[in-house]
Amino acid sequence: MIFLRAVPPEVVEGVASGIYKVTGSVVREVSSGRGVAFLQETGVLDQLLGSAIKGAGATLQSGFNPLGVLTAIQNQQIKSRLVEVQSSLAMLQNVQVGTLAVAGLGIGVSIAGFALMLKKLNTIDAHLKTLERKIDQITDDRRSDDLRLTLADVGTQLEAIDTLLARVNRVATAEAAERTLATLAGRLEVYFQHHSETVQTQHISLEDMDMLWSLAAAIRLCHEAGLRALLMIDELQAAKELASRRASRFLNLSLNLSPDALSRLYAQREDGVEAFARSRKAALPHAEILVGGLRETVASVASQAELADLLLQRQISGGDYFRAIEDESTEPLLALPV
Amino acid sequence: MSFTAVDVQLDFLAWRDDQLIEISDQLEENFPILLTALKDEIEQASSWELARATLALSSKAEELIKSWAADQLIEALSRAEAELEQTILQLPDRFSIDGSTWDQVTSALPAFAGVGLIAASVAAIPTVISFATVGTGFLAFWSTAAISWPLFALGAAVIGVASYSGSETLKYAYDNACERLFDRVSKEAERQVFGLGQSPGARCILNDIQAAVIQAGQHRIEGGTG
Repeated sequence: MIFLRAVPPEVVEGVASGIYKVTGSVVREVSSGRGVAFLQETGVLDQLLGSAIKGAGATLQSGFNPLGVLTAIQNQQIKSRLVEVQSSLAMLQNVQVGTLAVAGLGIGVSIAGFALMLKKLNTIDAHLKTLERKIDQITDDRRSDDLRLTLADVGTQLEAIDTLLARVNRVATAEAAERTLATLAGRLEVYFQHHSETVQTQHISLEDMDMLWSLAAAIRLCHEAGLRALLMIDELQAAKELASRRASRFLNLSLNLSPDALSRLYAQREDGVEAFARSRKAALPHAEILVGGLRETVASVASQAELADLLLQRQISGGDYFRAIEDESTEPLLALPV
Repeated sequence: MSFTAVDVQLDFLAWRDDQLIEISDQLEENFPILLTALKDEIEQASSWELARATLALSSKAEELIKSWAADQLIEALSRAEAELEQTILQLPDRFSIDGSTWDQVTSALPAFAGVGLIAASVAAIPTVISFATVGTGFLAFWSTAAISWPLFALGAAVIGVASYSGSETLKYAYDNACERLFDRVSKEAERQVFGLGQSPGARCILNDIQAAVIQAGQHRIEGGTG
């Protein structure tokens, strides 16, 4: 491996001492904002995560996890277990486990293969069906049918990208799939916005928050698949621009959501301040995970734009980058010095 | 949008979201202080006063709510300003945030206060307010008419007649009426402070304080990092 390496101890120490901070996948010097290293998770982290989750008694799935499946306490327990195994993972203390990421913790580009992406998509689809039965307004205006079709189209594009290496016209297929995925992500954003605006004017349930979470997961999946397609055909400049625009769009999606407002809307129907406060505090962790997940996604996707830029500058091909991650068998986290 | 601009925006959004939660927590924690003051006011008023001077009591209750709300606003502003200064201090060196990056950050600020629940309060607050210049005047949106004073007056009249006659049964009725009166006043305070029983997004003290804090923060951020 010529460019990615184990995270240097001085970077781990710098983060621990507060000289550096991790935003998205980039380690930065706090005082100047200068990037120090780009972090990339590997398949080893996914394995470690699998064992840590079992130990913490959590019920995470390998594909998609509904909102609130992990409590804040379990989240801490899992992260502590990860640090016990690998001290460099202490740098990821602020990252949620069971995020909107397609796999792992969403550090760097997605390590998920298309089989896992497809599995995640199907799990999201099944989960949305369950939620829609509990949320009337979506089915009332027949958005449910459109949503099904949109997710089915995403699945078709994932299959197209999955067969990329076997195709003669690889570049054209990847470009077409990326464009279609961007369009589908745009449609999913409309569903998200619609539901987000609706829930801000009425009493809401935990299912409403979970609906937003699930839609956001599907949007992120479209982005990760499109980005991977572009990196595989070495369209680094396009990948950089895609990530940058997608980060702005995720930021816009999250801008008018606040954990406080969501938890208050949940508690709105309670009678009396005590019941209201109790109910608000019960819903707050869910709302915090939802909004936090969206904001983490903003940072994570924005840092992918920085990675694409770095690969361009260093003349590292996207294919080589993916191979280096896939070949790694010992380190859960790698660093690309900036 | 540059990564630095995204990073800085996320820091400001984290500040905003923390403040909104902290204000909710603060008002819930301090609400019993207001209730105690209202209860004391009812208990301290003589029965004859209650029967005859409901108007005086109503303005006293209104005064208590106003004064409590002003205290809450001052506390929330002071905390929010200190925490925002801390956030600004922790931003990358101001020289590394160039003009165009800062423009990207500030261009998103109009949507900063666009959290649906406080939209009506945001619209009602003067556009240019800062931590130093926020008054409490804009909080005075409630009026005597907003409180259900006819019901209050009926309660007071019952108390007055009951107590004036001096009988034990009527004393019991007086205590009961006093309790019911307090229930009405506390329900009204819940409505005024937390908007309970109102449609989501209706103006209430909690929404107004949150809106004022976020507006003042936005003004501070627009002023730059220096």
